[in-house]
Amino acid sequence: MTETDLHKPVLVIGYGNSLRGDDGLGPHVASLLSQQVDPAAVHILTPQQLTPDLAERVAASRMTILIDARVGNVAGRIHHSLVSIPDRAAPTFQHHITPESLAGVTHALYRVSPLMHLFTAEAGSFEIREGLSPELLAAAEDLVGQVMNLLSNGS
Amino acid sequence: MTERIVIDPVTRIEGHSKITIQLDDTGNVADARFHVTQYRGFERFCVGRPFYEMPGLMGRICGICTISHMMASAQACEAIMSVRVMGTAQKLRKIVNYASLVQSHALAFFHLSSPDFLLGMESDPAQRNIFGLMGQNPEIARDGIRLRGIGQQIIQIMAGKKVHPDWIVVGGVSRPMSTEAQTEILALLPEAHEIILRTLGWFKRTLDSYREEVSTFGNFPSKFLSLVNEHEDVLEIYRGRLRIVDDHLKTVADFHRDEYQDFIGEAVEPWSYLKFPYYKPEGYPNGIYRVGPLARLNIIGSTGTPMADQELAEFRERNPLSSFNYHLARLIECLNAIESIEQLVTDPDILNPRVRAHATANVESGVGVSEAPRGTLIHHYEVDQDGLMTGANLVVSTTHNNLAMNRGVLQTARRYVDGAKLSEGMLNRVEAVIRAFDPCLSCSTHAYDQLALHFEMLGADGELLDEVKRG
Repeated sequence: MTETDLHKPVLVIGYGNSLRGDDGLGPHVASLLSQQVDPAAVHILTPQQLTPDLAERVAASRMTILIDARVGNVAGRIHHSLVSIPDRAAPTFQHHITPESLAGVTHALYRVSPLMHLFTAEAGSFEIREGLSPELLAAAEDLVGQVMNLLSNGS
Repeated sequence: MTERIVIDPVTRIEGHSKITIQLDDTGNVADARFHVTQYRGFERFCVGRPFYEMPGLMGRICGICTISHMMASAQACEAIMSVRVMGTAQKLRKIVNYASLVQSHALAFFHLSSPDFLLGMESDPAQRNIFGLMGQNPEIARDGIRLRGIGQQIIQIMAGKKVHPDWIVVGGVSRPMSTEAQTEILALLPEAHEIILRTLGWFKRTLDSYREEVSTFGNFPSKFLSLVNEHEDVLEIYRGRLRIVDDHLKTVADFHRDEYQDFIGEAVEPWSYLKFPYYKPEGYPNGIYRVGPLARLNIIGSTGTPMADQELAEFRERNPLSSFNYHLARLIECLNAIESIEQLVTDPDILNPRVRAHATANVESGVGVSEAPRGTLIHHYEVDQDGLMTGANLVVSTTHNNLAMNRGVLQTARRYVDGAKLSEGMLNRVEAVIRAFDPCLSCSTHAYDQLALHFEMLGADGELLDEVKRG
């Protein structure tokens, strides 16, 4: 990371559909984080899904943190990984892209290898309703703590 | 033995469809059809709802043309209320409709169609997409993403959200323009302008390499339909009069939106959920017409802005009947949209805070029309005495083009399909003629699924001989 990069903001993308139960985890965590961070240093977005145009924002950030719900067997279980650039481009265009494709698009278009963290929590239900399940509400609190730790460590 | 080719799914379009190509005993193309295979039914489930909910509800038909649907829907509701929307609100709506057109045209041109121009019709389909484009032509891919982003940003500044905003309401808009919004939008326009001019220059040079496609991709006589300004022979994307011209670009009908059913009939076929609108005086299926960017530029005398008019003059030198020229028309409309947004945002009346009229239902029927990115969009509603919806008829842009898309597929298949052998270049050219129209099938059938395409090849006896599925 260069000295110039240190002056760039961190980008948090909490994505999902808040009308589909636990899929609203990302926007919910993003909302909680927005009350605790300096908006000049941490830019927060809450789209329903990842799209190629986000690459421009990712390229302009020193670190990107993605927060999403995922399918799983244990509601509320949290996963954390670093997103790597895929070897091969996605075969077809669709309305949304994966975290790996977003990293790939950022690299292809802006010649930037983004530092990208992905936090996910296994969902209990994606049925049509507003609000998170109790397990995901608890996971959201944990995720806020983990993201704040990451922000204070700087990487 | 005759055969049938099926292309399923059709890729890099919005929605789910398949193409079948019927071969005759000698292996030549006898017929070709573009099938739309999904159904949602917005016209039915809105019945019983209060009419004033319609803009919000109908906007959910699509995530690309939300704005255009809300425009047509709000106008239909305002006709039911018999109110006149204030001039400032109409100008604000126009700004957002132009921005919507820019983001949609950028998606169609850069993301969906430019891989064909830049990577070649015969290239590996695994790479012939926006991601392949990023690898080989990152500057053009960046321009596409940026231009679409600018269109979406203007929508967000004006309406609060990029997709499905609640700002367009029955009677006007929910809030006026602020000076901050005015400044933000004006700051975005120079970059958009540069991108469009750069792309226009490159694409016009590229067109020389596609003379054969220009002459075979949906190049046939048809009528054209679009809105025109109420008072001048100028491009109109919001309200105005409906006009139909023939293949010599002579006006054959000019009418108010309330009269649309006198001129436009709607047929159905058992093999597609997409309706088949036709020009009534010529009957079905002869009354074929096209809508969208090509139709709009063929119908008008002027775009209403200086730089787009210069491009229109050059465009007039090209073949007005080739659907391949939809692509160039899209870029010229983007230029016109950016120029128009600048004119409207700097209009002395644009900050006027009076932007909404109020009333209840006063008549039992209303028609609204707007020009969506893909063409003329008609919403026709009927209500009872309490203002509850009793019926809705939507004639959506892609639907108008249905007969023309089928004609284009047949023409392209006859030129490129060679017996029962399916080659990638042949399949892609048949798909590419559909992409030239930029169909949005989620709107037109109210479909609910991912984009996809299915090619089938059938023998004369109906036996499936070969098929290719994508998506």
